[in-house]
Amino acid sequence: MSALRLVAARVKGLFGRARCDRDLDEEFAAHLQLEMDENLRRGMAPDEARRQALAASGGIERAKEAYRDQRGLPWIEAIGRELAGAIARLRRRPATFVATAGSLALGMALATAVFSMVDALFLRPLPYPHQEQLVRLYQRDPLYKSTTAWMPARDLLAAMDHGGSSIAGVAGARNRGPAAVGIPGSAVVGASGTAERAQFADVTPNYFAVLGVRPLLGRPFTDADATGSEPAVILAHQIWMARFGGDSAIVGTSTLVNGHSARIVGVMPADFDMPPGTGVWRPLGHDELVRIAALGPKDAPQFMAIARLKAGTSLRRADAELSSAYRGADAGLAIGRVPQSALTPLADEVTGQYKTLVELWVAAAIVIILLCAVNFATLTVARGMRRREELGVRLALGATRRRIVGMMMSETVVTAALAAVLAAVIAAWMLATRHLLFGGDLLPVAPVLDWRTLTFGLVGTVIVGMAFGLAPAVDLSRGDLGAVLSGSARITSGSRELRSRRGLVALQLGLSLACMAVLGALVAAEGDQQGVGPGYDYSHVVTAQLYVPDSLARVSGTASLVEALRAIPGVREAAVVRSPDDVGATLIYRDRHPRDYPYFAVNWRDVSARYFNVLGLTPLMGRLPTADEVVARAPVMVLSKSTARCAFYGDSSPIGRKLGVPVIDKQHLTWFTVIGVVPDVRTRFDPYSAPVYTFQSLPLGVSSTALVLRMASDPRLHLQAVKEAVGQADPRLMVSDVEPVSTQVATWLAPARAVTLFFGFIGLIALVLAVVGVYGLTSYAAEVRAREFGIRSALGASRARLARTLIADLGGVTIGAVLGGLLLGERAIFLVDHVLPHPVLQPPLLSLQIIPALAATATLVLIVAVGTAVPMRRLMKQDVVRAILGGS
Amino acid sequence: MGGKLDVQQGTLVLMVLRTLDVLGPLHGYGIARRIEETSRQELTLNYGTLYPALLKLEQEGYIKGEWRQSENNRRARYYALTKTGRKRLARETEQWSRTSAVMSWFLYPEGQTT
Repeated sequence: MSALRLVAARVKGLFGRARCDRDLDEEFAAHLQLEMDENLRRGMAPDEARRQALAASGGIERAKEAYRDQRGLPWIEAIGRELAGAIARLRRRPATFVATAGSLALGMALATAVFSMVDALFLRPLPYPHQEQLVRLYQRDPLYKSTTAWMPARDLLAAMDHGGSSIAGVAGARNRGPAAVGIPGSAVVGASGTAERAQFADVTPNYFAVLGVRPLLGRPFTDADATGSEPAVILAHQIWMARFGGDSAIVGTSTLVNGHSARIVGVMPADFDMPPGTGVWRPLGHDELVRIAALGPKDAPQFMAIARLKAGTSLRRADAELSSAYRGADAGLAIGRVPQSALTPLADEVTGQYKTLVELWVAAAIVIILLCAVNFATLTVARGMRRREELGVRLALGATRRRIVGMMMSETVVTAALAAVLAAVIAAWMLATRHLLFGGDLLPVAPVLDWRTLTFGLVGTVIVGMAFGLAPAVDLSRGDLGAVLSGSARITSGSRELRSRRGLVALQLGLSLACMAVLGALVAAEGDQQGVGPGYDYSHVVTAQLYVPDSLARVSGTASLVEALRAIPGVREAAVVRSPDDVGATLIYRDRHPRDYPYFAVNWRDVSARYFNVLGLTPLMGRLPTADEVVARAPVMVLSKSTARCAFYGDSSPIGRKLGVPVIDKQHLTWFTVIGVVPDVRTRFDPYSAPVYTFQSLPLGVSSTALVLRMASDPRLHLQAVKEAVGQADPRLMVSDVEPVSTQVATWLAPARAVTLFFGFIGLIALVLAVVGVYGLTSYAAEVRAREFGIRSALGASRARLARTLIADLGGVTIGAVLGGLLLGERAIFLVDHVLPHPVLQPPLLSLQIIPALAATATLVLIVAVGTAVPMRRLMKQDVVRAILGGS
Repeated sequence: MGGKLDVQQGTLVLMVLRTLDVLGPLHGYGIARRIEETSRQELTLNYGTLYPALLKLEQEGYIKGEWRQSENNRRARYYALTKTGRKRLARETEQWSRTSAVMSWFLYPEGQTT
C-alpha cells in the first residue's frame, strides 16, 4: 500500500515543481537559520556561525538535487527536459522539421492504410464460429496433377456419408444462376418492375448447420423442406431488405421464385454471403442428390462442398479419410483417375482471391516506407551537418558522444512523433477515399482505423524513425573535433556519403518515373475501346433482366414485346437477348474439322431482329439477317470477330460455313449458316470471349432473358417508363435490374480503375518523396561543399558557375534515374501485364507509351529543379568569409 | 577509531520515526539535532541525507509535514508521526531488536566479552 502511495506521490511530484522548490528553499533556510541561532547561542561570531551551519549542511545545492530526485520521477523529468530541448532546437528550422516528419508520415500512412486492409481481410475472423475448423473440399486429379473446386454428386454423397472420425459434417452447394424473386403471396400480375434478381443456390439441408450460422429470422432448412410439395427458400439479407423492405412478417409466407411459389422459412444475417453473391437458398435433398449422381457425367451438375472438421483434427488425416471415401464411390473409374482429397481452409478460400492485390499493396508500402526512411535519414544528416560546429563545441566542452547521440535521438523522437500523428491523419484520409486510391470497395470487408491499426501506425512510425535516425546520429557524434572546429572537415568528409545518397535519390526518382510509366500504359490501354469496355457506344443503352414464363417465350411473344418497347417515347431501338448457356458455355460443332476437334465452347446468344441496331454495330464481313429471314426463323448465324477467328482455324472467310448448335437438347444439332461477322461485344460477365448469335431461333422459354434498349437521351430518365411499358405489354412478365450499361461498365471496370488509380497514387507519393529526397540531397551537398564553394567564390567564380556545378552533380542523378526508371517501368508493365491478374485487360495490351514516358521525364526534371531551388539559394547567399572560416 | 559514523542503510528511518514518537512534532533541524545528540555525536546528518528521507517517509504516509512557527518565531516545517507511521515504528523496532540480537550472538559468542 505504501509502495502505491509512494508512486502516486512521486507522480504528483511531477507537477507544481516551482511551488515545491519555493517550499524547499524556505525549509532549508529555516534549518540554516535555526542552526546559525544555535551557533550564536554557543558564542560564535555571526560569520563563523553561518560558515559552520553551511558546512554542516553538506552542500545545499546537492541536497536540493537529492530531494528533487526523491520528489518526482527523475527519468521522466529528464526525458521531458530532453524533449523540450529538442522541440526548441527543431523549431529553429521549421521547414526542415516539417519536411522530415512529413516525409516519414507519408510512407507510414500508406503502411497503416495497407495494414488496416490486411487486418480486415486476413486477420479478422469470418462470421462463422470456430472458423479454423471449416474447410473447402477440393479434389486433385492424380494424373494431371490439377486441382478442382467442384465435385460430382457421387463424391459429395460419399463425403457426406463416409462416417469417418475426423469430420463433423459435410455440406454441398451449387449455384443455379439468376433467380427472380417476386411479391409474396401474389401471382405475377402487377409484378412487372418489382422483382429482384438474385443468385440462386441449391444447398444441402445441413449447409447452415455445418457453417454454424443461424438465420436472422426463421429457421434453417430441415430434411423435410427438401421433400415438401411447396419448395422452401431462405433469403439473403440484401434481398429481404430490397424486395420486402425488411418486413419480419414474411417468414412463413410464400413468394414467387422464377415464377414458382416458394415458402420463405428464413432470412440470413447481413454478413452471411456463401456461396458469394447468393440471394436465395433452396434445399437439395438426399434423394435428389442420388438422382443427380445417377446422371451421365455430361449432364450432371458439379457441387462445391464444405466441411467442418472435428476439433483438433489435422487436414492430412481428414484428407486421407475423404480420399478413401472417394475411392469407394469412384470404383468404376480407371486406376489413377480416382480423385484425391485436397482440403483448403475456408478462410483461405474466401480471402485467397485478394492475395495478389494485397501483395501488390504490401510490396508498394514496403518500397515507399524504405524511400521515406531514406529521406528521413538524409534530412536528419543534412540537419546535423548544419550543426556540426555546435556539436563540435559541445564535444569540446565535455559532452560525451553518448550525450550527443542522445540529443540527436531526442530530436528524432520528436520528429517521429509528429510524423506518427500526421501519418494517422493521412491514413484516415486514405481509408476514407479508398475506393479511389485502392479500389477498396472491391474488398468484401470495410477496413477501419481502429486501435489495432492506429497502434501499428503510431508505434511503427516511431520505430522506423528511430531506426533510421540512429545511424546519422552516431555518425555525427563521431566527427573529428579539431577538423570540425577548424572547418577542414567540410572538404574532406562526406564525398562517399554523397555518392550513396545520390544513388538513393536516383532510386526514388526512378521509382516515381516507373510508376508514371505504368500509369501511362494503363490509361492508354483503357482508353482503347478495342481492349476494354463493351466494344460499342453504350452511352444511351439500357439493359434489363426479364423473367419470361414458358408460354410467352415463343418467337411471336418476343417480337410483340420488342414492338411494345419500341413504342415507348424516348426508346429508339429495342431488342431481346436470351442466353441459353447462362452458366458456362455451349459446345458449337464445326461442319468440317480436324480429327478429334469437332466442337468448340463459346457463349451463344439468341437475339431478336434489331439487336445490332440497338448496339449501333455494322458487320465487319458479310451481312445481318433480313427481316424475312428472322420472321421465317431461317437457320442463319452471325459470329463475333474473335469467334470467327477461332472457329475455323484461320480459314480465309467463315461466310457460308455451317455451325451446329444444340437448340433442342445436347444430342441433336441444328445447323446454321454463317452470314456475317460483327465486332466483339463484351459484358461484365464475359469480358474475354465473344459469342455467336442466332436470331429468334429458340423455340422454348429460358429464364435468363435480357432487354437491350437504346434511348434518345439520358437513359436514367426513362427507367421507370421501361418498367411500366413491360408491365403493360404483358402483365405476366417480370422485369428487374433495369440499369444503364454505363453503370454496369463503371462496376465492371472498377477493378481495372483500382489498379490504375493505385499506380497513380503510388506514383504521386513517389513524386512527393522524390522532391523531398532531392531537397535533402541538395541540402546535404550544400553543407558538405559550403567551404569549397566559399573558396571558389573568393577566387572569382560567379554564382551562375557555382549553380552549374551543383546542377551538374544532380544531372548524373537525373540521367541515371530516367534510364533506370524507364527500364524499371518497362519491367513493371510486363509484370502488370503477365503476373498481376488484371481483371479486364488481356495481355499483351500494355506497352511503354512514348508520350507518357516523355511527360514523366519532364516531370522528373521539374522535381529536381523544385527540390534543388531552396538549398541552392541558401548556398548562393552564404557569407563567403564565414564559409571559408567554417562558421555557420 | 577516528571520524564520525555513516548512517547505515535503513537505520535512518527508524531513528526519525523514533525521534518523532518520543518528542512529538519536530522540524528537520530538531530531528537532525536529536539524532546527533542521541548518537553522542557519532552520527552527523546533512541536508542531503535527512530531507530526502523525510520526504520519502511523508510520501509513504508514515509522517505528515505542516508549516508552523518555530520556537524562535521562524516559520518551519514540522513533521509528525501518523497512525501508519506508528505501526511501522513498532514493526521496525521489533525487527531491529531481533536483528541486533542475532548480530550480538555472532559477534560476541557466549563466554566472550567485549
